[in-house]
Amino acid sequence: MDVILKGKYIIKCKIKAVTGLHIGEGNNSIEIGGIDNAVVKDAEGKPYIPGSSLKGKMRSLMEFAEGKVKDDLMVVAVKKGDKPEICIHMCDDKECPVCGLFGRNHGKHVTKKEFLKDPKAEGRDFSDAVIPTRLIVRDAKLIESSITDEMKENLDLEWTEVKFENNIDRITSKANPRQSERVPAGAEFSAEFVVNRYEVDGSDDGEKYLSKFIKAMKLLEDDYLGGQGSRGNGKVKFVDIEIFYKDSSDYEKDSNDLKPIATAPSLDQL
Amino acid sequence: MATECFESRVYEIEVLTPTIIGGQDKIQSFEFVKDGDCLYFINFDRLFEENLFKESFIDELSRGLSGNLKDFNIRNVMTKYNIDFRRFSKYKLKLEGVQKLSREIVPFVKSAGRFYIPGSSFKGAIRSFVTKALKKDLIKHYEDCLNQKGKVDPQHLSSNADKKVFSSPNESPFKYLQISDSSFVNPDDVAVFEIKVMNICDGQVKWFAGVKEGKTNNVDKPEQSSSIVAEGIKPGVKIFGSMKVEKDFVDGNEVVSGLKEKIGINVLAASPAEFLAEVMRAVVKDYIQREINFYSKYNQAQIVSEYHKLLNILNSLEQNQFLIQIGFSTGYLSKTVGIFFTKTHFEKLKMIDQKSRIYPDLFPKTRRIIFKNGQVYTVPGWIKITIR
Repeated sequence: MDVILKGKYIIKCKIKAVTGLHIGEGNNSIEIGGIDNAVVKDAEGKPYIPGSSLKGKMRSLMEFAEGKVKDDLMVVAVKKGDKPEICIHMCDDKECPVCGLFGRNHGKHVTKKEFLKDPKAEGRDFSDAVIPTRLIVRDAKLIESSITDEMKENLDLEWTEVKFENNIDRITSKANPRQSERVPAGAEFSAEFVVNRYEVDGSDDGEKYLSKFIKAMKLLEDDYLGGQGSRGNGKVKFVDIEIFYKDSSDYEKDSNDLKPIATAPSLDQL
Repeated sequence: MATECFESRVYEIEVLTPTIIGGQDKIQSFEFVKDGDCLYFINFDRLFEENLFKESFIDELSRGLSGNLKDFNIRNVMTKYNIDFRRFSKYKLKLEGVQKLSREIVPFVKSAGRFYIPGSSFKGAIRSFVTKALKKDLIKHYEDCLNQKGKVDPQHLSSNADKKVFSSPNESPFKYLQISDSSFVNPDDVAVFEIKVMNICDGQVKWFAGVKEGKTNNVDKPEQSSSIVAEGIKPGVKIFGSMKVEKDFVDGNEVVSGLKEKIGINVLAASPAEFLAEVMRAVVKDYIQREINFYSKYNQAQIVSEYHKLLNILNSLEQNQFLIQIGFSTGYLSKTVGIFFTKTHFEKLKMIDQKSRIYPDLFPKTRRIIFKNGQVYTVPGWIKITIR
């Protein structure tokens, strides 16, 4: 397969937490003086949005929106004994918008359908269709000034709050309290995404994958990011969007004077 | 799959009766100053920061706070040092006909100091009301929990039934119901309300007046009873958020069984959001009717009239609207499947939950009522939802 890099679309924007945001740190370790269910933080102790969380969520939403969530189109990414634990879409269709934008892995993959028939199935190699991943998602850093002094006065921790919830027993009405840390609504993060534009076997991507990426952004705004999203957390909005295009020839020029090809205060105005 | 499956919709909450979503720690008397019919809630961080070097102020404040708080009046200390409490308040709230200000106030939940309704409270209330619409064979799972042998934790008594009815969170239809936190509520739209506990004793209405020598004291006159004071959103206020009711919530899929097959009501609605609204309207109608019967029996004309107003609103709702009762002081029946329980069930519950006062002949026998200017006013937590 002949792959030529034609250029890069660079999307810069802010991600605004419309409601509190909880992206868990994963190991749930409790430090002395720490709290249960902490959010992921960078080396400076500030919360951030990992590129992996953003990309994973966008991929998942696109899989549903592009009709790829079917047993014969999903591959088993993590298995637990004879049961498929985590499945994602991956295929060898060279025109697949999900694999094309979010990437494919080398190696052999077993579809969920094959796995359910035979957990020892060898699977197939999609290597013929593998090309460098088009979408790159950077970690999104907290914009400190978005957490105002007034908000800070009322926060439990330096940048975050502790939300208490109760699970109420439906027979006795006794409350089972739990707590989780979250970034307060109003916080903003600076985000950057790159969509590579390739020419594959003489066929130019053009703006196809940029359009698909914008679709993924819209899907995310209508869904949630991070944990506990079906009950309040994680509503986000992309604001102050700027899209740049860097042709591959631009990398040979001295000047970096790049002008955006599109700007908009929000996605619906793009 | 149609694009509209992925689109979230706007929900509008219109507060119909004072609504309180309780926050974590109670606000103590030294944390607010009463001035006329307003309470000013002190910002201690700013108070300390700006008056750190004021001679002996911090000492006096510390002495006061570490001593007997009953004798401590923060307003007097601030006045002595010529500090204006208004300048050092986070927010102020109006007292809505509160006659007996208790020493602590139930705070409304806040995010970074801002009032809002958490999506978790809203979704939890919807889930509680959905359980009231379950088919009889599913309700039986809850009844079966009362037959458990050995030591049972009352905090987790319904866990087995919850799992049998709705499955684990990964396989529950509720994963297809997304409800965001609400927009923030302006402090001008929040007030302080007074709540009293009505208790039916020997068929008569009494009012809870605290505990005397280990025994509950109930009195005839509400003015002699105890008050709970709480921050709540005023009736008439509208707030917004986003909500997604997916098709799989109703119909289910290979992994998740849909709500349609669990509901004992014949629902005609075409869209998932309207399905939810129709279920809620049916359940709430039954709930309100039962409450009207209860309050009528004990001659609570004002509350009966309040519930008739709610019933009239309910009967005039559109397909995309419903009512629900949410939050603090809304009682046992709003949060549980207890509406289906009989004396026999409560006898079993009494054995399991020995710490609670369960009276099998009449349970629950208390209700929390909002008072205004010393008179019975209304019941808390009723809101009207419109899904747009």
